[in-house]
Formats: sequence, C-alpha cells, structure tokens
Amino acid sequence: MIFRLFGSLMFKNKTEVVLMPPKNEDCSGNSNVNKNMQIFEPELSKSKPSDDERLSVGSDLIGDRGPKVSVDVQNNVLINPDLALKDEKVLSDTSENSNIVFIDPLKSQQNINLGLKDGVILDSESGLLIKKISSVLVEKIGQTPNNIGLLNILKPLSIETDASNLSADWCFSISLKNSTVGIDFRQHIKLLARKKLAPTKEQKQEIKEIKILGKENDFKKIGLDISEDINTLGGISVYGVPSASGDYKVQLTFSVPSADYNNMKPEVRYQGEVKLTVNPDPRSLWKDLPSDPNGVFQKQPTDKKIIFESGVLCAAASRRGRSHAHEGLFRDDDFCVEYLKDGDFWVIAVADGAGSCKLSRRGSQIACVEAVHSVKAQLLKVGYSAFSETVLKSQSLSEIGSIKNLLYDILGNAAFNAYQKIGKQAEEFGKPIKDFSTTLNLTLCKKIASQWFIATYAVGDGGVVAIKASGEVLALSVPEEGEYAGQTHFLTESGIWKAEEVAKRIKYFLVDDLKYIFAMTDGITDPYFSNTTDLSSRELWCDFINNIKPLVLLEKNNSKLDESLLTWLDFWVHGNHDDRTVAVFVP
Amino acid sequence: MRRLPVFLLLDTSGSMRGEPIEAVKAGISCLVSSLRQDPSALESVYLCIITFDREVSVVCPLTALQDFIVPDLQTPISGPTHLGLALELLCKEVDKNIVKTTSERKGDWRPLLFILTDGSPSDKAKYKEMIPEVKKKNFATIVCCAAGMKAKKEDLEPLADHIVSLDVMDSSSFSQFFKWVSSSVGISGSSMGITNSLKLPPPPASIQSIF
Repeated sequence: MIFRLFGSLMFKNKTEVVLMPPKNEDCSGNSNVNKNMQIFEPELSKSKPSDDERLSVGSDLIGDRGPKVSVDVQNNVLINPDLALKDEKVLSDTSENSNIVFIDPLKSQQNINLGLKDGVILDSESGLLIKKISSVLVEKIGQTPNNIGLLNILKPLSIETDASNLSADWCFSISLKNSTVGIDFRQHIKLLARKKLAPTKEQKQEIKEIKILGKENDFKKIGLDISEDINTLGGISVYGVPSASGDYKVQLTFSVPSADYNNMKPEVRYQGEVKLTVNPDPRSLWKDLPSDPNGVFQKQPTDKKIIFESGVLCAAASRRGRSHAHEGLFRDDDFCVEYLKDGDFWVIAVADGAGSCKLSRRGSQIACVEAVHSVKAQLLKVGYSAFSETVLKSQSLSEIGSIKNLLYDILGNAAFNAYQKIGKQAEEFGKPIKDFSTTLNLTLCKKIASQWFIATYAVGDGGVVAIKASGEVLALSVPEEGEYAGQTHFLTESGIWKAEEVAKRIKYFLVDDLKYIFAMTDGITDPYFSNTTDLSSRELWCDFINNIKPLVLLEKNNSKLDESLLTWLDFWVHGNHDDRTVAVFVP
Repeated sequence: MRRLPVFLLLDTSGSMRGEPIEAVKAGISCLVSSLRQDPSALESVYLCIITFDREVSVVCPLTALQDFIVPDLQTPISGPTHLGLALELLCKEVDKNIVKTTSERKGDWRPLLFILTDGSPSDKAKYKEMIPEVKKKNFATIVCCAAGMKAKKEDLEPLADHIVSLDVMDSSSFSQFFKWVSSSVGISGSSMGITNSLKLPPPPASIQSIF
C-alpha cells in the first residue's frame, strides 16, 4: 500500500563521486582489484554534512536544537521551525491510504491530527520516504527510531567513472546500506561517467548497457527487485522487502565509450558486484526457554495480583524479560502488594534483582516480602491513629520533624530489615550477599481526611510516580543511575545504611485529587521515560496512559486490571527486553 | 535505547600483511554475522574499529551492528606499530561518542575494548603515557590478544584485564578468537545491571588465556 506511492517518484541528491580507475590490473577474481573502488557514502555526507546526517536512515532525527518532528499529546505533528526542513514534505492524506499522513515541513508548526493513524516523512525533492512514524510511540521519534516501523529507504549511491586513459576493463564492488528482514528497502545506485579532458575540463559520457547478470540472482531469491533505470535515473534500483537474512550479492556490468581514440576498443566495460547485508528481524531471534526446573529459588515467569478494598483498586503484574527468556533464566523482578484492613494502609513494593547476579531473583523476593511485612509490624508498633495524627500535625512547619522521624522508623527500618534478611539468606546459602543484589521501591499510602498521604523509600533504578487528576506528576522516587547504563545502587550494599543516606531515600507527599500511583522497575521506566526529567513530565505520562489504554483500562471497576497489565507488559520496544514489573494504584 | 559500544583495535603493521590480515578480516566478518544472530547484541551493540601501524585511523566509527559494513583493512609493507597513538585516538573516540547518563539522557552500557597485536608498541613512551588515560575511560573489560610468537605479552599486562595469546596467526586461530569475542560481547549484552568487571567465558582450546 505504502510502497505503491513511490513508483513514479524521482530520487534526489545528484552527488558525484569520482572513482579512480585502477592501472593495469586484472579484474577477474582478484580480490585486490576491489581496493581500487571507493565507497561512496562519505562523499555524500561531505557535500551536505548536517542534513545528510539527520536524514540518514537508522540515525536520529534529532538535531542540535531538539527533535525535527515531534508529536504532542493530541497527536498533532509538530515541526520544529528552527531546523532546516527543506528536505521534508508533509501533506494531508488525500488518497485512499487512510493510514498515511504526509507532513509538510514548509508549513512549520501545522497541526495534523494523526489519531491512530501512522505518519510518514517524505523528502520533498525526491518524494522518498524518509521515515514512517506510528502514532503509538511517535513522541519518541528521533529517540527510538527503530521501534516505529522504519522504512528503510535510502539515498542513492553513486558510482562515477573516470574513463580517461583507460585501457583495461575493471571491476568494482559496492556495499549497499544494510537492510532488515521484513522492512521496506529501496536503494538507487547512480552511475555517472565522466571523462577528464584536463584537470579542470571534463566531459560527461553516456552510459550504455547496464546489465544485471543472472536472472535468478541473490537479490531476487529473497524477494528484492532489481531493475535497470538507465533512462529515468541513470542507474539501477534495488527495492522490496527482504524475506531472509544474510549476505547477498548481484553481478552487474555496464560500459562507457572508451578514451581510446584509435577505436581499437570502442568501449570500457565495468563489471562488479553489488553487495547487501540483510539483518534478521530481531523479533524472530528471541527464544522463550523455560527456566531450569531444578534451579534453586524457583520463580514463575509471570506473576500478578489484584486487590479491591474500601473503594481502591490496586493491581500489580510482573513478567520475565525477553533477555532472560532467551537464555532460560529466571525472572529477577518481584513485587508485593498488601492492604492492611485494620488501619486502612496500603503497602506496595517492587524490586529488580541485578541481572548480573545469579541469585538476585531471591534477593528481590525477600526485599519485597520482608519490607512489606516489616512496614506492617512497624505500623502496629507506632499505632494506626498515632500515625495519622503525626501526618496531620506535620502540615505545620514546626512539626515537620516528627513525620520525618516516623517515616525513618517505619520505611527506613523496613528496608534495613529486608537488607538483613537477605544477608541472612546469603549466609545460610553460603554465598556473598552481592549475589542477591536487588533494588527496592517501597511505597506506603493512606487516605487521611480527603487527601492521600504517600511515602516512599527507594534504592536503585525504577521509579514511583503519583499522578493527580489535573495531570500533575509527582515523582516520588527517581532512578539512581551511574555514568554508564546498569550502574545503580542496590539494597544489598553495606554503604547505604548511614542515617543521612537512609533519610535521603525517603520522600513523602500529601496529595489532593490523587488519580493514580505507578511503581515500576526499570524494565518499564527505561523504554518509556528515557531520563529522569521525563519521569516527571506531564506530557509523557499523559501519552503513556493513552498509549496503554487499548490494553489497560485504568478504572476502578476493572476487575481484570492485573491480567491486562500482564498482557501489556509484553510490549515491544527495540533494545528494551529487561524484566518488567508494575504496580498501579487507582483510588 | 542503550548502546553497548565495542571497540576493536587492530594491528595492521607490516608483519600482519598477507594471510594474517586476511584472516583478521574473515574473523571480523564472522564476528559480525554471529553477533547478528544474537537478538540483544543485534539491538544494542555498536562497533568501532581502529587500526594502527605507522598511521592510526578510525576505519569504522562507532556504528550500530545493524548498519555495520565490514571495512577493508590495508597493511603497509613494513613499519612501526603505534599502539600508543592508537590508544590516544581511542580515548578521543570514546570521549566523542560515548553517552554518559545525565538527567537528560540515558547512558550507554560500559564499553568493551579488544586489542589485537602481533608485536609490541614501537611508541613505548606514548603507550605508557596512555595506559592510565585508557583506564580512566572505565571500560567494562579490556582484552588483549597477543597473536604470534613475536607479540610481547609483558607489554600488554599493564593495560589489559585479560590477555589471550594465539601461537599461530592463521585463519582458524583468528576465527576462534573472534568467536570468543562474540561470545564475550553476547554475555555482556545480556547481563544488564552489571556493575563490576566483566566475567568472560573460558576461551576455546586454541587460545591460551594468560590472565
């Protein structure tokens, strides 16, 4: 459907690249000959560096001044007017291709409602499709281009001959940009022949007889068409949707009039190969292997729980990530959700066992269960009514210390008890506690008068966020991250138990009009909120909730919220395949 | 998306000319195609190749595995082995290309470094000067492969976390080495959340692990 649109469109970019012909070298089967060939891509980017970089497929559409194209909450496509956009074209969809919208950057900031359609970005000069964007995650454009149905349509490559003083036929080898199984590919190879008459003088030469050798060539075998476009485009085109991965090549010949004025040899023949690598579709590579049935500390690949009490719905789900399923490893994430009927308290814990530590699945499990259990015990000790009184009193500034102390006692101790319990387990098992490394996001909620009191203790990545009816986002805990990915703090570290360290990990809020609380491990925060600033972004949360809506109805009367969360957790985002755990609180 | 950057530093000095360099090229092709069969590598690995002889050059800047095209490697007829200069260039490439976590961006995974040489650095002073600089870059692991009898392991010790040696510089040894590199990259690719130095799989029989 989409592809049909480009049948009659022209290619852009007439960049010319000079190929230096070899001197007196034989081309038949000698691999050294290929060294005389140039690969053309760098030359293309030299001519138009910044634009080419931004437009090249597979790289970001992000320039120095932010995303070139973004999509706002209402699915309007916004074009950044600061950026040079002359190469892109967006038009309203007028054809029967109702799932396509063209975007015209010349009219910057125009709003086109994509609804649930897909969008595409076109090159205005050539009409080439640069990028297809699906509205599902369009706000991510430029950040995760691979997850949004990229159409692999590329700029033309050029071969230019310098046919002066050529006595021998010679051969070439060029590599097309890599493609991927199942993704549209289109590449034009431009052939230019030029005879140098003097250093500054040259003459264009006619290209004759482009021939693709072998009817059943490698490209055809995998469903790619290859055609000679000598008239319209002056070269060949390769296009289609590759059906199998691997390295493929096609033999090609063409000729130009010779520089031999004695006409002993009327033309120079070029022959060589066009090579293409097709990547496998990563989705086809993931295996789903069961975990070891005899392994210690068994854990099911998925888990879920739902509680509906006193007008509040709380649901949680956890799913083993593809990276673990691929190797038959256990789920390292865990959660524990409990409602304390007596005092009307909610306690939610989510934890992510460190992927590099062999027994972390047990660490995360103990962390959640023990922390929740310990909060319950501490609350009993404090007394339920004393807790509420302290919270209410703490609204005056002079009394703020008492709630801090109280939370330190409850949440700080709960975390510390969990740490000790893991230590004990490690000792019993005869392994260092490091093997049980886990993060912990612990949340305590209680309705006090018309407001919700929410307090968290968090160590490591993942996050807890409260969203108000107004859309305002309160980040109750933000990921702790090192300079490189995967570096974070763990509950199992001995260095995090100084009083001030414990205190700084505790946060609390008294919230009006609470709509939701989300507690998540990094398997979800990573793909959806690419940095800590994003995690408190009202727009991103609004998009997130809209995005999951088709699968997850965040309503109090949804008695299957846990199931739908679990189904949703299987979502696909390129490069993000960690375990995923979420707990949602709908008051 | 988080990238797993892998840097390959390859000796292209004169002694590598002929069969060895052809074997290395074949090895890289093998490495790339086997990594492409690993879904987490396919989605996260970025490769950069730097060669060193008299000249040092980035023959392939940090490129997504999906888009990677195996470059042609040239060797001069003879000449020095400027590993020190190569490390300097490596540090520049790391500074230029590696993304660290900030509140605005997710950082890359800790990069991996594999160095393949069949001799010893000719620019010893530069080499010594660069070792602490390379260490500062906080690679998840630095593996040196000393290929052939002339490779001096003791020169590599201060730099490497692991040294492996290949007695013979033929295609089967190199292909074994690159297979091993590919399994090391695979492991680190799926061990998300790693915080300390990487545990490598045991090398195959034809590769001797020195430490």
